[in-house]
Amino acid sequence: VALSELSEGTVARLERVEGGAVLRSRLMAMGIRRNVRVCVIQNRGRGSVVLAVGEMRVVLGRGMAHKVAARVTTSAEEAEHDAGA
Amino acid sequence: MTRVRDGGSPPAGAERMVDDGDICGSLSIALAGNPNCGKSTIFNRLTGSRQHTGNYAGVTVEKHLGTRIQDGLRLDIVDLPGIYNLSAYSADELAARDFLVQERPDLVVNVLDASNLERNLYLTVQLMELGLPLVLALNMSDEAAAHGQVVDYAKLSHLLGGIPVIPTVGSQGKGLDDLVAAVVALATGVTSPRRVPITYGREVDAEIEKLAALLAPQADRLSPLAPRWVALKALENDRRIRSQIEAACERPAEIQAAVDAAARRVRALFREDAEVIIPERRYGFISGACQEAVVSSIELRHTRSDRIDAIVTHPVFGIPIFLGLMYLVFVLTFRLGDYPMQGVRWLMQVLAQGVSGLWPEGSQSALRSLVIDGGIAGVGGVLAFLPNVLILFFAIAVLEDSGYMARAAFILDRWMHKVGLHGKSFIPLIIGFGCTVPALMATRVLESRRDRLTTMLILPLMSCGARLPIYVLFTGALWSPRWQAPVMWTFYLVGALTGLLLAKLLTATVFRGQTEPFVMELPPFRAPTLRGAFLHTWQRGGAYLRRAGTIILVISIALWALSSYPKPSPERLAGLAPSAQAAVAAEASAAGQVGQWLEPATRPLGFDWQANTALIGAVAAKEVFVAQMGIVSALSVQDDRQAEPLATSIARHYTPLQAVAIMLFCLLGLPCAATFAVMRHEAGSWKWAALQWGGLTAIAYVVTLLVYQAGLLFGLGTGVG
Repeated sequence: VALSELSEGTVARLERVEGGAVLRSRLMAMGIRRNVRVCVIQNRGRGSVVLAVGEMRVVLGRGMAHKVAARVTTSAEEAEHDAGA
Repeated sequence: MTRVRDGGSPPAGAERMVDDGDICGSLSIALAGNPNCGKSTIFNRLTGSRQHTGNYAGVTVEKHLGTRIQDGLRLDIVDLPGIYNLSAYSADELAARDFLVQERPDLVVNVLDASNLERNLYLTVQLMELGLPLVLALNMSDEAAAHGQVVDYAKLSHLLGGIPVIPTVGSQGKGLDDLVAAVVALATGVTSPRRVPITYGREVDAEIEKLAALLAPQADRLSPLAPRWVALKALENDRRIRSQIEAACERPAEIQAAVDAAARRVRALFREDAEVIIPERRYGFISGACQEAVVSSIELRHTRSDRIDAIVTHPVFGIPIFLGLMYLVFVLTFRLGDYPMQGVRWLMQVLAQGVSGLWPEGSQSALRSLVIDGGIAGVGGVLAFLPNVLILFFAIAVLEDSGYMARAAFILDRWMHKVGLHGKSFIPLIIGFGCTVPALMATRVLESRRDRLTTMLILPLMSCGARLPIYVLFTGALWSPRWQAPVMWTFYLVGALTGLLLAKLLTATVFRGQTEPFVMELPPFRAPTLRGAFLHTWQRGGAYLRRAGTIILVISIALWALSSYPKPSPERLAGLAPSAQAAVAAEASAAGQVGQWLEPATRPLGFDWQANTALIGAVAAKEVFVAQMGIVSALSVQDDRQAEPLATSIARHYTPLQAVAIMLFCLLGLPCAATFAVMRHEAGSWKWAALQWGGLTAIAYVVTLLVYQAGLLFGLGTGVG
């Protein structure tokens, strides 16, 4: 699902980042990339979305949040992932 | 390490070295790092220079230089703007990139936020690719340690090919001696890291090698860029490199085709663009290193900062909190500013009396008038408002350093979008309330030219510190203390609203198109340090003070001359009372004549010739308006009575409606000379600067005309409110 559709407090892993080359490269450099675990801190259904990526808090404009695909993960999956890592 | 002395007391050691005349060389060092990694703080500590350290992305927009003498080496240190990577696109990122890539400093000190290590190492990897000698400073290492992060520095250094890794705490100056020692050791060849090749997977590496081989014969043309690096960046689809290939290489079409073919092969193989694969491989290298050298229990967790965010960025309360904070800032500015202001005024009076005593009683000496009416009255008028300006700057500094300003940009993003601006436009707009000049420079964080030009054009409408004295003068003179803050608040609001309206108009007509997508890091809330806030305040306040001491002094004296000469003929003064004589003299002066000449144009706005005269000064700098009012009123009360405070004569001369008209015109029109010059530089042409000046002044004229005439219509023109 698109990041913009996730409700507050959801923990998800990013699957795909769309958008122009320049913007994608910027997002990658900020650590917003495939398979990174994020937590939706703020999403009010309109306006920007605030994400936690590690210690970083980042605001994504709504347009951007539409272009980032994420997969919601359960705590069991996360535990598995951590064990595998 | 024998050649490296303890870096604890550089000045003493440095002096001895200078005396011995054996500074054996200089070293150009760039400080590079992500925004908010504490780079500027380290820069200040290393060079001792006074430099602003903000807490949100993109505040370092200028190339800041500093020098340190260490062990006989002169270290010329450049503090680069914060960057996330080398594929830059905003103006300040480009500046940083070009410095690193084209000018190639001798050595780069890469400052990293230790709590955000993996992300920060991404830039490090890119610097490694560039092949510049590196020293890493893991800054804010105390915070990271408190969060449970344990770093094996030796191991991390080893994994990065022996690049020195130094833990630092910039705010306390910890680790900086080690950092400097590592820099010197690296520069003098005591330590020499091996170069770790970053690998992007066999297939991608092969493509890069092929492209590098194709570029190798043209290495001279690409210099100082290495062919392999150009190949890597081109495959990553770096627009700037591709246009550099186009411009510098022979048979560019052939090379571009080869790059495209390589990119296609990568995509076919991985079902993903090379521009995604390459960064992912960099992260792969980073997580490999971090897994071995860093034990971290840093988790996705709600921090205290998030709890504050839940309140200050609340969809309902966010805006009222913002407005409340701004109101508080302005109320504080005027309440607290009042006491020192009285002090400065008293000091100026004492000074004027003291200097006046040097001349015999009743002297008509031109020099006496020059010093007292020109110099002291002019500069004093401006200095009296210094406390207000300093308190305002201090409040802005506290809000910036705490991290609140980034939140303000975020909560206002939606509103900014409504007028066609970018949320990040708000950061320069807020700085604009301090001074338009740094605000114009701060627009460099905006990526698209459209967003940037729109923001720059409306910036002078954000009421800057220099306009504060004008408001303080008029509101102080004409409104009761209870109403002074609300009246001023209204002017700030009117300016901001006019700016937003103008932005809407511009983006709906001249600058049609989409705003850039909004991506911004929110730095964690931090308790601002007094040291930081004072430094920051002093930096901006100092600029104001220097202007008062130089430009404004010169302009004050020039305006004094213009308003004192030519003198009226003695026949015209004969038989007149002293006060009438002064009035005739002022009218006869050059400034008075220009002011009168302008009267037909400004009378419908409610300005008299004194105000016109002062407005001429405001063209040079807004503060001069107050200085000039001081001079004109000092001249016209000569001998008649003891010099009265400027506020008293303002209260006698102007109605509140006239005051509103004058303040409105100063708010909206006549961007100052410094703004004009910087606008020309930042926008890249005289055209934009001229358009801004003329456009805003025309708007100011029309709006002031409408307001004043409407006011008269409603019978507000007479009486004192």
